[in-house]
Amino acid sequence: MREFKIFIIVAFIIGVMYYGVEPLAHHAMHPPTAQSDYEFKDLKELGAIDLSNGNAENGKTLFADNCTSCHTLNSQLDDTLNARNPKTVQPAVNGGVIPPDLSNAGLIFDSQFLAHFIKDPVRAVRLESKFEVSCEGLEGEALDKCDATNNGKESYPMNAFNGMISDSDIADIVTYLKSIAPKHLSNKEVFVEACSRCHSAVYDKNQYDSMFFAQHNAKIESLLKQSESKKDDAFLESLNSEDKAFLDSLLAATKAKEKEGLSEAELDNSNDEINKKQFADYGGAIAVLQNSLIESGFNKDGLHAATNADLIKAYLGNTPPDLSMMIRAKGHKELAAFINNPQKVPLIDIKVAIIGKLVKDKQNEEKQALPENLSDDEKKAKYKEIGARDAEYYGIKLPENTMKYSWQSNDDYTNMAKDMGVMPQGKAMPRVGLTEEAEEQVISYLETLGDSKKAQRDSLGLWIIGFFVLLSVLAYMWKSKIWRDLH
Amino acid sequence: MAHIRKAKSLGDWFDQRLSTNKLFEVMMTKYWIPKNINWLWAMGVVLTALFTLLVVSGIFLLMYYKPDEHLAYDSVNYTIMQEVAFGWLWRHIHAVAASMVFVIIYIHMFVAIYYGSYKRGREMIWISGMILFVIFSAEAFSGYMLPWGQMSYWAAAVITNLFGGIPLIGSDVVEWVRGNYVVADSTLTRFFMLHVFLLPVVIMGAIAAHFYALRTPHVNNQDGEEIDFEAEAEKYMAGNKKEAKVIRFWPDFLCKDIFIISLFMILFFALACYHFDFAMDPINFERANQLATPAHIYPEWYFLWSYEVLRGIFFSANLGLIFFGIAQVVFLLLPWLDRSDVVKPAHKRPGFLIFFILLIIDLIVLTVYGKLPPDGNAKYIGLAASVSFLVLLFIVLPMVTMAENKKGGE
Repeated sequence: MREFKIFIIVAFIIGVMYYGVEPLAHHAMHPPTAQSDYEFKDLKELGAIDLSNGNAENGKTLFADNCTSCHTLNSQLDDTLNARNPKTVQPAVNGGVIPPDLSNAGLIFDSQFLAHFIKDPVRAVRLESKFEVSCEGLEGEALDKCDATNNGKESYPMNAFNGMISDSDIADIVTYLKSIAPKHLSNKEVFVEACSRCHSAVYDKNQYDSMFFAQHNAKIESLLKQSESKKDDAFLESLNSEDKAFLDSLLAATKAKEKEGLSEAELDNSNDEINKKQFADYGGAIAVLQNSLIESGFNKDGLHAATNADLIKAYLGNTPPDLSMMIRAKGHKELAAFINNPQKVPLIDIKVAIIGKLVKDKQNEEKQALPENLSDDEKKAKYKEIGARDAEYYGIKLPENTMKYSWQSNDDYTNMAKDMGVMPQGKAMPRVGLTEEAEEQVISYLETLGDSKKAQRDSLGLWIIGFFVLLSVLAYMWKSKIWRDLH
Repeated sequence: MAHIRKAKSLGDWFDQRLSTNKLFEVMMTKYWIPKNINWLWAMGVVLTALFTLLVVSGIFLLMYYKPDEHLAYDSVNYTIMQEVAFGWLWRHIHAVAASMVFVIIYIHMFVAIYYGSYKRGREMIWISGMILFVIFSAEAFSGYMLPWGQMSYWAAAVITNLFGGIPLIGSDVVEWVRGNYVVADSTLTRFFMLHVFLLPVVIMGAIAAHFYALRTPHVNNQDGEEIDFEAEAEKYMAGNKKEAKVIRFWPDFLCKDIFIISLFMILFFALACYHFDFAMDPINFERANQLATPAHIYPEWYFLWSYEVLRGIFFSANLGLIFFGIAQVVFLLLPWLDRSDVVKPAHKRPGFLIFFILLIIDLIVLTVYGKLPPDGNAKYIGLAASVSFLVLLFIVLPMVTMAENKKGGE
């Protein structure tokens, strides 16, 4: 009984200490931020774009007219959509980026986000603190305010289509992108698409590709079986429309891969030629099928960011970290919150910024009110005195949260801080606008990469624990036997 | 030369040459331990087991680890954690054992304080133990640097920088310790040497000394009773095991310890496999980057109390450093700061019990506030706890124990 009492006391003391250095400290170092929002309600507040009646066909025309000077759709066999050299940096001056191919955009990005991104990319990615937003359509005071906040900021590599095309046109483009997007992508493909234009993941040396592309390869294997003892034409003839579309996508992917292997200069010469290629140019449909099996070789250097790190630094101000071990550094929950919106700052920091601004205003007011005939020294002394006054001195309290959106928590003063121009900056990373499913796939990929032994750890742990439970029982029996003579 | 006869068994063969039977008696079956003890007396053997785990897992890690600023991080996080079969297990064992060793050291240490096992002839046990604590701290600190993550780097930068506070030669010492003006490759390689060679060897020597220091004054018991070990041992050997106040180290004492180690290992592997963040700080999975200071820099939990003594004196870095230096060695002086001759558990020494409880509370406060960001009130709580720590040990303890002595013990 005494042994047990001692155990309770020791466990209690250790428990208190554990609580202090783990959960409590973690909470203090990671103060609450706004909840993740997969509906992108803040964008809807700017004016929801109705996506329910989008016209994909019109969207395609609009895409060809407005988007193809910078973007490609390499999953489509249509040359007009792939006319541009996919390796050209855009805009050509002042550290641009390589604009993404949008074949999969309709699957991994939220539709409302995508629509608002087209309309005004800076507002959608929430990089207003660094880049100019679109002031199109504003008037009077609102326009002045918008222009004032844009003052001195850089222009975003992609222009806003706000005012150039209508909301319903934007809806058509989004509908088109959704209509051509694949139904499913592997975790690695989502990562490559969503993250690896900027981020490397050098621990991905293709060692998990057989797992990521198992579904893809299985489908090809089954088609290859169908093609046995058939000639190319007869084989194509025998396919149903879904398989035919799949084969077309493989042809498109083969072209994309060929382009990937060429330099920008080489592509200048051969891009059109590649766009015109047919199955026959790659040795026939069956050969394309065979070559589309993904059997990645070991890649010693690992997966590197598609864009040169210097370009990104010039564009966003920081070198994006390698993501190989991010799952262990941040954990599932924190990663999810971060990916949803990298601009999140602790709610408390926003409040502090607002109070700081109010105090500063009051101090400036007092400095203005000083008599003009003061000597420099007197002025200095007075300024110092005023500068030391704080919120308590002025009796300044946090104002009512009158500017928040109805769905925001009462503690979320983001709107007020933005209105006052004191919103603290988050990370340099833009909001990516992934759907919740795509985000989950990214995290899942990172777990495969950085915590590859998790499954083994989870199962082995139980065996080891079981072993020591058994050993404890045996040890207890042995101890009892020996101590029977001693007590 | 001794007379050698034909051996009756392998054991006999060795016994004739190495006196193994005699050795086994001296070390095991005729090494006497008091019977009046509880499970807290098993902490020493648990520590030995943990140290063994650390050495074994460390040897496996050493086969793949590369002490180089460009290779270290990947050798740990890619090669060991992902490629080597069960490499993750060795690393998790090593990291969790490093943390758990300190849990048990602190228990072991405060058991000794509670039962008064550091005085009246047991001073050398206490001192050798405290020296072990200091070397273990150095071992832990040097090991934490090796994965070359963000906290490895920045904790190393902050802690090595402390030497800069030494008058006159401070900046030279810092440079000498780092082998560079900043924490760099040279720092990593020298701490690697310390971690895998010099310190472990010194620890093994100190453990031997610690064990040896136990033999003459013997292990204390639950009531601080002075036992005539020879008379009690005779009773035991005469077959009067029930009345004897002593038991044999083997198997009587160790069979109990083995049971407790088995129980402890259940907890240990549950932590190593399912709940390891406390011992493997997530931020240290970010690559060391000397251009990006982490928002919060803090040492591992077992250094927090002394770190807070340093940081608590927020108005003067030099005074903080002095307090910190004193905090590192103050426990060595414990046998002399305690002025009383009484060897009894704290619950039979009312004044001392109050001191003991206050000390525990103060250390918990220091530990918790050592990690919390020093904003607002936290600063002042840290200051109060730092000052209280020194007041408790240098003023309260001597006064309480002197009063106890005056009362005549009982």
